[in-house]
Amino acid sequence: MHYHFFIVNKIGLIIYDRYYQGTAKLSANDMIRFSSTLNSVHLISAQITPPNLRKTGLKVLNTKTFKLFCYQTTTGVMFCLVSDPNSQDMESLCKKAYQHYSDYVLKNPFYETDQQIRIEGFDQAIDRLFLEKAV
Amino acid sequence: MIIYDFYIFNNIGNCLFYIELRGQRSENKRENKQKLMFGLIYTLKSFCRKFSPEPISVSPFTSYVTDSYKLHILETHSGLNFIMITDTNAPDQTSCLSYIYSNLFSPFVLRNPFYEPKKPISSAVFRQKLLEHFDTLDSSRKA
Repeated sequence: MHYHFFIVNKIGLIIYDRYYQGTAKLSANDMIRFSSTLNSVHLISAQITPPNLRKTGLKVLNTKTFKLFCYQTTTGVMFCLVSDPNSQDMESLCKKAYQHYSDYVLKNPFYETDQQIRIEGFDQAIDRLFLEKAV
Repeated sequence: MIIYDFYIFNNIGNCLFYIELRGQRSENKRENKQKLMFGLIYTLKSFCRKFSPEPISVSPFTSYVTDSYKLHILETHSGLNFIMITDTNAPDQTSCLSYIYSNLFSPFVLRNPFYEPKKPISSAVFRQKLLEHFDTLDSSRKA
């Protein structure tokens, strides 16, 4: 079961979010605060890596009530998915979302990089991806 | 399972206890790392409480994973934070941390009459017992 999907750009601003399963919506201000917190948490978690290991940022956050998966692309855009604690294969879902992002968003000539995504085709593709798997 | 570091922080962010099991760092680096660590878990705890889809009063945060390590945390009711850093394949360590709290920390630190609360833990017995416990978990350490 998936609760929430969002995309954070390379400077920590939220550019897309979508809620599922009747989850209470967070206010726009809260979302801005969370996305920038997540961005800094990602950087700090890489800093505290034990010696002699590759320094990489947060990938999965496990809690008793939800699980957050972050997939960071090489360009710095972060795809985040919040699901229930027992969900599996969140990584492949995020990668599929990345595929849709490059198809519907990046190939759209009217889309400006790092700006809010308001593209109907992308909304539909994302909904199909998460609702189909949720059943 | 490989265990890298173990920390105990109190509720105001003082590091009471710290063990590095793999590789040493300089004193300066160590202090910086402790500050970063407490800042990070403090942020994550309030983040998780607010972000949780079901309303919850205590923080539900239990662990996080990066590509190279996994961090486990147990917060007690008195505000102590037990943190353990292991390799990424380790299963959930909540029970291990509560074992450390109830069977090692409580008898050897809390019941020690010379222990002053909120001061760094200097008990040699506690350190010894903890290392023995880690040896049983981390089979490659003895080799």
